Amino acid sequence: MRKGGTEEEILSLLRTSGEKYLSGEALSKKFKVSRTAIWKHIHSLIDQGYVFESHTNLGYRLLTAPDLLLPAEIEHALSTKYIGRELYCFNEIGSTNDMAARLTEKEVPEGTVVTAEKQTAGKGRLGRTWISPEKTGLWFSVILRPKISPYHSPKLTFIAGLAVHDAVKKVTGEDPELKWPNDVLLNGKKICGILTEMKAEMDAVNYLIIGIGINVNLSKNDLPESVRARATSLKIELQKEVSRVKLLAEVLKCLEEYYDLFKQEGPEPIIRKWKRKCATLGKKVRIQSGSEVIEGVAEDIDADCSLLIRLADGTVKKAVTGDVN
Amino acid sequence: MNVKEIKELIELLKGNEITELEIEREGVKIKLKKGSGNIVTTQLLAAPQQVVQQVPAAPAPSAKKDEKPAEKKIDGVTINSPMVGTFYKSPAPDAASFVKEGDLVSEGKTVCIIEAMKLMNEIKSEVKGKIVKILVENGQPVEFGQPLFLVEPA
Repeated sequence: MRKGGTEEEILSLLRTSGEKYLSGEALSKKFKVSRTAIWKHIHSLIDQGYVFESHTNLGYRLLTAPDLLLPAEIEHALSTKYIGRELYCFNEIGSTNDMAARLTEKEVPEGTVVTAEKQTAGKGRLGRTWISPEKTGLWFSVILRPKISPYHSPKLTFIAGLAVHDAVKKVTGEDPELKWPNDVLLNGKKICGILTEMKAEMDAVNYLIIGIGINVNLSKNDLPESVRARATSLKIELQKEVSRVKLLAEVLKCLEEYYDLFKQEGPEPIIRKWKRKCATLGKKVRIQSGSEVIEGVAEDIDADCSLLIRLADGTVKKAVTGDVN
Repeated sequence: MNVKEIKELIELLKGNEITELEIEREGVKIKLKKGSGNIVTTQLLAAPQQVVQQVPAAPAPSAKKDEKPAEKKIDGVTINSPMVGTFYKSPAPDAASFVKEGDLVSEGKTVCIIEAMKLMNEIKSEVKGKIVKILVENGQPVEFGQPLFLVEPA
């Protein structure tokens, strides 16, 4: 569907007319195209998953819109000022982060979002794979250009975990937990992973790409057996499907609010809020941080967002990276 | 810069062929020199600047046995870490390193990744030249401003 094209306008009109039928004739007059052209557009919409009721004398009315990551659907649900206002939606690509990095080679506005129904090379940390089966999850990346030094940028990644937390809570009513640094857990299992990639000079960030993967409607079989003990999906936990479009729009809204807050007040309010939702603090942890293994009790988050771990001998050690177990 | 960081720099010097290290950042200039006791000097500066080091190259083979090989000095620049994090020499544990010692790099070439809080920062070389020495180990924590690579500009 071309942005701002006739098809999108037809869809938008059918959406607003609700219960009322719109006749093919009225549509053809409005858009100054033949009734056959209208019929073709309707069928193209049907192919994309829209369901219409058509009546020979009355015309068409929209029954349901598909829960697909189509620009028209996302834009319809979106309530942000700038995040997601520039959208690149793909059916299948390697990785939304890689595509976003390619897009930054030209001038794209801050808040540009790349989504994919399926990733063939979804990425985790250190060359790990992120399983992203088709039309089941939210696999997307957000491009930000914060005017901060790279020194402070890791703190910014905390807004993404919080945004996913808030959005899941709003859409499903469940209250997920956060695991340091930025996983989102439901019932102790991971439903969301966040991988941020940055391009920066010594003193300025060129751009940040926040890659977010949310397991929304994945079935147990979509997850490899090796990760089932640690990972889950909203559908598995809630035993019902969740609207991906609605959830995406909500995540982007929360992300924009937290990003604006970060720009205005710095990281402190974000960290305070994050700590309240954190499942890592107070627990015994074992962290593989680079070539080092740290074992102890996760005591607090430092001002720079690193994890402070109290070791058995009473000393406190800082971790800036790592897998918490 | 605190005493702990200065101590770390001294440690860095000990385990390396570097004989002299001069760092300027956060308004402080520090000069360390290996030999009969470390000399530490500090002075205030307006803004952090790039670190320039003097490093001896491998001794040139000498014809005469009794003659001490002349130490050739290389004017090197370092690529420093823009943030606190973990240093990775390759994109994945089983993947090839971005660069090896002796490699020629051009401006913009990715030399390593620094990670903090799942934020991966691909560090690019800002100079064209030869990687003389990799100053940190894979998986090692690094501090802000810590030299990662010594590059001999071409």
